[in-house]
Amino acid sequence: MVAGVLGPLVIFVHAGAHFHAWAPILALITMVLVVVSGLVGQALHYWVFQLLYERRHQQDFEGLSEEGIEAHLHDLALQEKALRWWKCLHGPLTWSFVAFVLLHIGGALFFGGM
Amino acid sequence: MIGCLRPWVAPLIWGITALLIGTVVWLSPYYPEALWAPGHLSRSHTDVTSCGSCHEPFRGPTPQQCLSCHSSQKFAARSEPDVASFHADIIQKAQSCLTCHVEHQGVLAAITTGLLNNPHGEFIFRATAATSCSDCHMMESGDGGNRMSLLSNSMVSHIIEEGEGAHRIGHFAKCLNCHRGGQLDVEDDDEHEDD
Repeated sequence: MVAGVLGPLVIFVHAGAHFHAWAPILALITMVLVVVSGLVGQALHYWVFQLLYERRHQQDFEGLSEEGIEAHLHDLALQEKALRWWKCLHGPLTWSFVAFVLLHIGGALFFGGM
Repeated sequence: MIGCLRPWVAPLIWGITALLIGTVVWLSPYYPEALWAPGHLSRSHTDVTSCGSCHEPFRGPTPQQCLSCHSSQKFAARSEPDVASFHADIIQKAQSCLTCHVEHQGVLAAITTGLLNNPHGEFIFRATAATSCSDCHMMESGDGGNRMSLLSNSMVSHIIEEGEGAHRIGHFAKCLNCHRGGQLDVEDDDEHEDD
């Protein structure tokens, strides 16, 4: 989590005020998307699992049947759906970011020298 | 373990990524500056149209590429004697041009830094029609390294007169502080009152 926020800040220092070429700009845009997605995912993880865990144990303690618990947790399951949506986005976005970074590094080595 | 709800999302993102990377690679020969350059070339190099004029693949901008245009003969024919001899010495010692010169900093940015920093940027050349530092300066070598002293000629006198008091020794080095955006006209504000 800390590296996921501090790392991009270092990248912004590396970029400075230079937003001229599209190849590195694409890498920067995907990095921002991955960071935002990561922060959203972190919040979703915390929120959804905390709620599900607490509610399930509370209702189990109250003696509700398994079916009854499932029915009560229906709304929370919908929130879990958001987590599953996030799962679809974050991984591919991360690999997309890696691909653009490799493109940027390749260009820097090609034009700037090794 | 929670899985992905919509399996088509990942191929979609990878498809867009592949499309963008393919487009960048495909357009690179046609728009290399827009896709790869960290900034615009300076006023001095606006006639350069190909990255390959200065950059060698995986070697960067090499002195050999610079010398294809800026040879000792060219310096001798087109520069002041002190500038020509200074560069002839650099070329003979096979030193890197990048020690003093930078590029892609913008049209009006200085391309001479380090040992012989040009605080005016390229703006001074556009504004005064000077073609070389030595139009206004004498290059002097001493124990403390190379330094530029101001000449007393018609071009320097003209620049000082045009400044209406603002162009004084020690006060007009950084032209773009007042001539923002490379504008010749300067708006009056409090910042110039102490100049």
